[in-house]
Amino acid sequence: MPIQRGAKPREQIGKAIGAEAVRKLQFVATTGDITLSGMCRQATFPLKKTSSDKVDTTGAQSITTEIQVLRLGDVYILGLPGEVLVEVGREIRKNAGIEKLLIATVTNDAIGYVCHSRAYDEGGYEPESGASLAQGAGEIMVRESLALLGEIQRVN
Amino acid sequence: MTMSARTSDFKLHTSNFKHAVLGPLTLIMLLFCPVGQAALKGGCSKVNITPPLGVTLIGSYGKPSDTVMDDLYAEAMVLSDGRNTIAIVAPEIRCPSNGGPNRASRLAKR
Repeated sequence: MPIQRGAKPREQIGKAIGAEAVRKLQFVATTGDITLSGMCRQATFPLKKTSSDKVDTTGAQSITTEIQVLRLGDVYILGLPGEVLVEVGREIRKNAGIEKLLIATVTNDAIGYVCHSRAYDEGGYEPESGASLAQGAGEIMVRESLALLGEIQRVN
Repeated sequence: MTMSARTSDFKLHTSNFKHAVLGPLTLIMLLFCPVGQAALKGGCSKVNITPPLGVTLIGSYGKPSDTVMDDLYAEAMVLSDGRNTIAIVAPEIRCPSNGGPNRASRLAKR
């Protein structure tokens, strides 16, 4: 896919993704024989001393929110509260050991960009002016997510 | 605001996860399930949430909206296996403040 900005590339990318979804849908089998469950877990993330304007964190040193997981049979949907960089999601996926794991971001809360530590070293919009969270937030998101996924697998 | 809803026995799609064997196996299991045993049920709904022209747009440096390219929707799906009920809501908005989901959660528990 082309990495370009503007209306035309946006439409091309959207149609390509949509078409792939429609193609896959033609060959899916279905079952009504599954069980459902869900869990959530509180997580606390460190804030920068000077916050971005995206999240109102006046005077606070940390922000506490929650992450959630829904289980539909052997499909797990992990809901993360923020704009999570792809490296954070990949790290969760790599270590979770769950084949059918869907990761949803900006779920139930918006705490701004959640970047891995290397992004802070490299710089750029997301970890710098775009983020309210301090370095280490991405690793906390990975740790807490893996703990929650482990917990729901143990219980069910 | 327009709204459409449908409710029916719900089948979860699985084969897009490369489990070719699971489909046929599960279908056979369903045939032997006695009527009334817990089967997945669900419903879906979709509401047009396109805001009026003139609202401030995030990411446009304060410029208000002056046209609608595509309508925005909030979609919801509720599933129940007879024991647990879950709801997935997907509003086409950029960022939910914590107040929104909490309020939705409280309303859903009524």
